[in-house]
Amino acid sequence: MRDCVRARVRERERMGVVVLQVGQGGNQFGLSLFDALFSLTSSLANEFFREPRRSADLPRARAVLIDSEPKVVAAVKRRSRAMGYWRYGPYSSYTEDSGSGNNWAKGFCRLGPSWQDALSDLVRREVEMCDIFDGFITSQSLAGGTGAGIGSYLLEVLKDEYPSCNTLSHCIWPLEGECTVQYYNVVLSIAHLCDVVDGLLLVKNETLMSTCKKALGIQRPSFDDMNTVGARALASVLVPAYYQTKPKLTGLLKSSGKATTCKVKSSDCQSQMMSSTQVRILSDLVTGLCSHPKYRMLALRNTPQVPTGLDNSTTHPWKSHLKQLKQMLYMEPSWAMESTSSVHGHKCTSDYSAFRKIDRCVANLLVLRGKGSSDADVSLLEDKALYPVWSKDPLMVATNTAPLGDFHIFASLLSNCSSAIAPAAHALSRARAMHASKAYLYQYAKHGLSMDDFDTSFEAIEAVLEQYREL
Amino acid sequence: MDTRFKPPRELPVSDGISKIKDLEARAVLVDMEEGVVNQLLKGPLSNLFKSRQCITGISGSGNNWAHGHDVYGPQYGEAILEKIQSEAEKCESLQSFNILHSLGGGTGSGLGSYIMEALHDNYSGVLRISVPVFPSKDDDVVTSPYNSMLAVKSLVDHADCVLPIENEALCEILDKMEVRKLRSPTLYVPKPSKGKKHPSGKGFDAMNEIVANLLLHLTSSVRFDGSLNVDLNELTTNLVPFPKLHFLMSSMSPALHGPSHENAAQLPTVNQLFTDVILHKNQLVKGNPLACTYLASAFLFRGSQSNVSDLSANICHLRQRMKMVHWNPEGFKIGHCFRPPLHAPQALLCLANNTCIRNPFKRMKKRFEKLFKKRVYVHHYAEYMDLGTFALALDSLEDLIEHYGEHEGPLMLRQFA
Repeated sequence: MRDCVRARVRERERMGVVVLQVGQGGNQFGLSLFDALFSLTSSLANEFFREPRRSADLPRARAVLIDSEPKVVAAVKRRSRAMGYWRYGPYSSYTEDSGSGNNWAKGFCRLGPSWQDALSDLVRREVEMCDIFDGFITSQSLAGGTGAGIGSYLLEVLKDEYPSCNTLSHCIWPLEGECTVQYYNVVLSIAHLCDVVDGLLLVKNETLMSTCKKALGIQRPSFDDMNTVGARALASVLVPAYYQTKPKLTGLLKSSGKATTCKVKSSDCQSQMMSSTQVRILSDLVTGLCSHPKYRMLALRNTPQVPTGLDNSTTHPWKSHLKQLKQMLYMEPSWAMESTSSVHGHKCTSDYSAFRKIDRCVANLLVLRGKGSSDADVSLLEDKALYPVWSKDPLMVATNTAPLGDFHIFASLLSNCSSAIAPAAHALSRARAMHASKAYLYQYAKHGLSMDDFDTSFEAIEAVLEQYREL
Repeated sequence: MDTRFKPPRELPVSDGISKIKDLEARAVLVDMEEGVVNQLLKGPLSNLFKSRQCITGISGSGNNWAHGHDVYGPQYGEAILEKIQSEAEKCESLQSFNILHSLGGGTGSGLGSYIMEALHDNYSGVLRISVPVFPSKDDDVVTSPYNSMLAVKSLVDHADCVLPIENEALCEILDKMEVRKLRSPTLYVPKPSKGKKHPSGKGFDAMNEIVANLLLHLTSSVRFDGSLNVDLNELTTNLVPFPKLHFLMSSMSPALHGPSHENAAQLPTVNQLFTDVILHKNQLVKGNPLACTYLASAFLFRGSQSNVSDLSANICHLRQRMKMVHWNPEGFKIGHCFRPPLHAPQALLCLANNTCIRNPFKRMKKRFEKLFKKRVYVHHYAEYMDLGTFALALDSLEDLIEHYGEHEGPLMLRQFA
């Protein structure tokens, strides 16, 4: 049997990933994510979509939509139908009318347990529709009660029900002032998620907003604008890409290698089939990026934000993009300054240069898309200064010569790094201040969360921060 | 609930009936006199209310809290609870009880207190939101200082959230609207009503419209889509850091209707809405929140022309003018509902848990003490209740004032350059 035919046979046995969209923020982002997953590739990403029973119907997203009130899920389903390219399954959602009141304890201690059976069934139904199930990606906001509270509970339950599967949690970090009790909810969520998910990808609304304003020139970005940017970034590491065989990566290939499949057009098929392994984002989290149990926090950087034309005159088109990615590792601003000055709501930029530090990384996954990606020089990111000495083979590189939607060239860096330290430390200090004044605690106690539970979560976060500070 | 001042026609929480012709208000109307309720049942909104939703007495409560609470409470309590039960059963998911009453009289304050306690006992998981009218200094009910003091204790102990209203503040808002009307004739100003008037000469209908607008705005996120939905229980979670400190200052911009759509130049920008809404002249209770400390605040925006970045940017600007309590310097809650109100392209509601709420309580306490010192009219209350209740109510009020005072910050947080 020729390679390509064999590949097409295997193509049908796709790894499936189920996306769990929880809460308002999670569902709104999830819609943008599926839209990006659909439109940024030339053929259907079967990990995320399944063929409908009737061929005349549209492909279905492998998703479960959960919320404590019905309006958002209804709106998200309506919008997917209106777009007309793919749809959510008709029985893939669970909503109630109560709302969770922005109360993490209500979501985690009350609603989560009472919905457990219904949610388990819903998730199982979607999982069973995958030929081979790779794991979950959750989309949730950390500020409220549903995404944060119910989301955290659900992930604990799923960890028990599917012990061998992998989970990536895409968590939206709120803007300042979105919700009064957001720091409690954020701290409680991260403390619980760290124990049950394989990777925690924190994405700040502030960063997305700033990207919209500065890079895209959108003066007054809406949530839709921000979600589009965030979804493209995440989709850019989820849609197919292939590891290149390099001598230092052979060890890695052995541990993460799954069935070699070729999904791109047959002209590329030959060259890529020879020595490439498809990136399995969820499995590779465990074996590659998040192999150490105490290091689970991820950050995502990508460039460019606006599609650039193919520049044939430049001999090294990738050089500038890789340089920019490395710059971004520095560019996360003077965190120490930010966490104090944000008390007064004002970024202090004058001492910026004095505090420029690089975000040290445990490991990086670099994904390059576009012509010439497999030949790009990635030595900038192999810099030993980026990584601790104990991290073996910290840089994984995957490429795909196919463009990403309108982007002829696109580079993404998914890092297990210390960029979460500053926002987490800020959230922790705010939460501790409120906790010391006993503010809002009775709201959480009403649903079964005591002061001690808060203390446990505070300690858990401190432990995570300590680990990353030692890098 | 019915009072002399408020028609309870707006209870818009999750109205499930779709045909416009057959709308029925999710309401129970209670009054110890028949006049007001009968008028409602015959008036232009009569098809919203059925007589099975009403409970009326005959002789009234004599402007006596004790008569309302200790006589009519036990007498009518069961019947009232039955009616509430039958309304509650029609709801798929009961979010809250909104209690509309005044504190100056006997029924709204006395029987109202009794009902609040009963709701706490029988429906402890359901929010109790009270929108009480605080009596003003020119209130024509002489015993209003006693009635309001006694009712406030019940609100402290049994309500989850209280949005007080002062008629004086509503009058001033209407005054300013009339002044603006001279400058922009297309501005809507409610016509003077034919019915009973407030001593200032303003009709109660006009003042009630503002309060109706408040409730519509409060529930807009429950009824319509938005990018940041805010349910009623989210408001209490975010705005009430300690169980008894649940008295919120409310203000709206525009308070009622904006200029007509044709005058685009006169339409306020979203930035203007934010700056207006924290000013003392727009508060529905007389007080200046900018001079005192904010424990938490919520900004609920209606309209589709602005989005989260506008709201977030405005919050950043406002923070610099607001004194926030030290343990909650970012104590904001943002809400965004796409659907604007009926007569303005966009509107903003601000609910603030601010220490300046002590001022109306201090005024209430002063008026009470002036009357109680001489034991004037006290014998009317002794007929129905133990006089120790006055002392308990006074203690409760003093505690509340003190508790709010503890969070009054010394200095405004300075901004670093």
